[in-house]
Amino acid sequence: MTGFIQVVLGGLVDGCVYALIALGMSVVYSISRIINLAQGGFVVLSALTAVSLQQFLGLPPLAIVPIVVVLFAAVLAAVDRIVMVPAAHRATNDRMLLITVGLLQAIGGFVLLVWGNLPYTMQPFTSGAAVTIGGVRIVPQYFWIIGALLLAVAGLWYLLHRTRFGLTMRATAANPSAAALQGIHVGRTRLVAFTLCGAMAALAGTAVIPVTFLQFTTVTSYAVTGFIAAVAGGLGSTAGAVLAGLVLGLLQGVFSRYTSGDLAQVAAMTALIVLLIFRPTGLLGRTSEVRR
Amino acid sequence: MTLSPADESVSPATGTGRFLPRRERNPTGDGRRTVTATIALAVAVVLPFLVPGITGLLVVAAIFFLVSLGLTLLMGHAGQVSLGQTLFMAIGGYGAGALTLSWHWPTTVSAIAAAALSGAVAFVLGRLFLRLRGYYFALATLGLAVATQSLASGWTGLTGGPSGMVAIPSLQLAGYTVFSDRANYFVLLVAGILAAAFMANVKRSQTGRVLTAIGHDPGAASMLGINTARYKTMAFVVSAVLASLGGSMYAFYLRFMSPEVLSVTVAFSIVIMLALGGARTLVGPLLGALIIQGLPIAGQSFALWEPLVAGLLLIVVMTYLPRGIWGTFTAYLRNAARRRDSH
Amino acid sequence: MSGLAAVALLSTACSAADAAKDDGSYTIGVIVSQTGSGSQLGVGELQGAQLAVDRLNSRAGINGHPVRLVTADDQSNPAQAVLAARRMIGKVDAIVGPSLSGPCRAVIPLAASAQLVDYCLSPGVKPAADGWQWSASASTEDLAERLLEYWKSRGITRIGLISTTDASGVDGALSTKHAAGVVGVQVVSAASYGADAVSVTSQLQAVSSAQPQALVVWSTGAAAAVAFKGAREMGLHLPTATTDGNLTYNFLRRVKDYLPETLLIPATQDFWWEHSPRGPEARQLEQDYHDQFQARYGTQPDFGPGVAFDAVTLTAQALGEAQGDPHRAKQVLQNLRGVIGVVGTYSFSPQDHRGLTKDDIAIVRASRDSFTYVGR
Repeated sequence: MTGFIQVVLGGLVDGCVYALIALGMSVVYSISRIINLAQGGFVVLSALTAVSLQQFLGLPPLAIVPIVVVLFAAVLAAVDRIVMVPAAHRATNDRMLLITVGLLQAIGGFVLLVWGNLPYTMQPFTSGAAVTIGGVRIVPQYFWIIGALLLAVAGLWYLLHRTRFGLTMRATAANPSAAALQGIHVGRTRLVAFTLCGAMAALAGTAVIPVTFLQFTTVTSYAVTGFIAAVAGGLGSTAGAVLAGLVLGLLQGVFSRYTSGDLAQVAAMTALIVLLIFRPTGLLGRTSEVRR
Repeated sequence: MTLSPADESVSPATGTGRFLPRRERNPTGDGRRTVTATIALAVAVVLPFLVPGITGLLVVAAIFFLVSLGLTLLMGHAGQVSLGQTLFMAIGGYGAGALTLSWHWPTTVSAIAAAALSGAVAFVLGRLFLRLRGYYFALATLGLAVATQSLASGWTGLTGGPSGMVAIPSLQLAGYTVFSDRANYFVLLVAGILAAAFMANVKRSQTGRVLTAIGHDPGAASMLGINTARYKTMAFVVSAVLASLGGSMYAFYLRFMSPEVLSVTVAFSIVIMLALGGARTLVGPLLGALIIQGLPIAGQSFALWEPLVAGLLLIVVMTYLPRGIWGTFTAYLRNAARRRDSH
Repeated sequence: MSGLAAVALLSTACSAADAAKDDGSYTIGVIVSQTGSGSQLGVGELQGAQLAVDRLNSRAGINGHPVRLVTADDQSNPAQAVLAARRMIGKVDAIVGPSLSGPCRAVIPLAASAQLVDYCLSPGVKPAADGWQWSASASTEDLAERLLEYWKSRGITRIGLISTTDASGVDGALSTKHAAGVVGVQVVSAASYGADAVSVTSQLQAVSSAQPQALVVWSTGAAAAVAFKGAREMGLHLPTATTDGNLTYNFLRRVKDYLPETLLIPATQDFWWEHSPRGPEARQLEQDYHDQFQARYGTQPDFGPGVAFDAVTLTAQALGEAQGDPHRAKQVLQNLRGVIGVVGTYSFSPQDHRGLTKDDIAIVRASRDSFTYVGR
């Protein structure tokens, strides 16, 4: 039984990372209708940047986190201005998906070029022994990963529901053209959405790298898993993104405990496709426009 | 049904004028087109003799041309991005391999049987998936790509698992073994021309125009009483059959299939090829395939830069040349000609 | 249709005609993974191959014939390996490489069709009897047997096994299970994970729940690193063993802070030659090889250079004895006996295209920056 709980815990921790990726995608989608497939790539990129910065500056890992978060908020703002805005002038949403595929490919290539094909890791945020609760072992970094997700969710909720700007964002998400008619600066709103998305990528990347090793091949797997969580949760639904990310991590963990790695992957994909066919709006999606 | 001028990039013979023989409308343009096509064919035939070193690249590019060409209807016209073409390449490759290796079927029959199976699978999946719009269709097909790689690796009995299926025979045509790069190239050249001619006809036919209409405004298309799901399923089936044939040729050429050959990255790159060249044109997929397959061979030291350059190239092309490189080029030529004619 | 076939025939004839070429030197095509996931091995392999050729040429080549290398990068991808091999056919007298088992298997049909010896540098393939492919280093079964014998001699009889779902992981898992049967050790639990997984907690949990005394991690590079780290986080302090694919200094540098307390790796002679019972000739070769490599590349050679050094040397020797006839080289090579290499002493036969035995394997222990001999 403790073994099973350990598996569940491990799955949920992985799920926190997927949830953070899906959350970033979801925020950007709801404002701009762009699925940023490259979000998973930014997670790996930010994690490796954190490793290099940590080695270069010699600061403790926890001090690196805010630097990387701010840095990637800026990076994604730049991506919005340099890549997304010019592209969105001309391209349809489907084309935008291809642009983010290109972005993902470019990030993978950049990581390979700069960091090579070596696996990288970082020291945990806080040292200290693992805690054992009822036979289940929890390393301190797990709390940081869960904390990163909670921070992102709470911050986003506060921004959306307790600030004036959040109201603007929600209005834009509900109907971008109507919002623009109301005098809302939609361009600025999506810039903020991309900034948030970058901060979340950096949170996910820096929180997860101490418990694993990341390298350029991880880019695609994170991108695919995050994309799946975002869509399965219902595009644009923040609660759905978090729930789907956690469920996905949990299922992966449980499946791979009892079956082979390949079988788990096929089962996950089948489940997803069935979900899409029978409930195409995802777990918590509200739009009814996805199917005719 | 109204079509925007951009749609004419594919077939000039659309709309009301289509019953007029084209020669009467634009005699010089058509003559020039024939000359261009003849020159292109002549170049294609002598190329492997002039530059023998690149024949291997041409073979692989031709295979991916077949695969991406099939997608032009679905992606270029109906506006649906399928990220799961590796599934059909896998059915074509592993299917043809298994039929020839275990059941000793002739290679051509195996490839055709696998293509038929791919078509059937696409028909069923199309019925299910093509009710889904935009991103959701892309997601479902991405799921197919992920499942394909896992199945290829996990279904050891059929595929040979992660270490792959080895010693698939070369293609046999009328008693000859198509082994060398050049032989493969010429077979693929003929196959490519046939496939392109087929696609050109479909695009020019009513089906092509209906698909374009669906891509433009699905709502309006269904209001006109068009069964959009049926037409899109048809386009999906066409893409599957061509991808399957491409996959079979890949297997016969490499004489090997493995999960790495059909990874999710490959599924992405097929769509990238199409988008780069121009998803609505016939030459576009060829151009895209040559660029993407040619980049790694451009230089050993360049191999390291290839993923970064390919990604950036896609972003730039999609942003500034949404019709792809070839689509933009032909549009430019047409505008230039129009300007000249008006003077 | 007949016109098509005629074209096909014509072009087949043409490419066969390309093959004739002779300027007195023996040309060996080297296909290694200089980029991509296999580059940790491939880069070193190219260095080892270069060292071997320069060493041969500094002694006036093979019977006066200089040896040339033609190199290609397969980007760790089977399709690129096939393209590279196809480009080489007709221009080279033998092929050394590719680096990884997937690409190696992909070039088998080509080597057979072109009747060229292919000395694959991955130990993960099983060359067919009297075929055209050879395989470098010791067999996975022998490595696994040596490891389990070592553990059994120290009272470890219950092991857990965790491996990747890629070709080398699957091969390693099968070999370990087979070796366990032979040696009399019990694999109490086994699990697999994808090579690009970022978490293996579930699989480790599955393995550790059966209470093994030791753990075999049959995966390379990042995948092995993720498993080591996961085991540490779960508080699994089991003696751990991993595959010879991790016998690289680059890998050690990456994982030095997360190494299991005991990490054992079954390794060939080039890692423990100072403790080897082989004679003075072998000792001299090893000494020269290690010194020259250190002088030239500023580091000690690891897994890649050794296999490539031997493969190039053996292939060149076979070409020499076959008077440069690539097709006869196969007969010559598979009848070589007792040839001393840096990886081990090779005795081939038509049935054995690997030539090494368990005698060439001992167990080394990986520490932060070196591999040290612990026993056989």
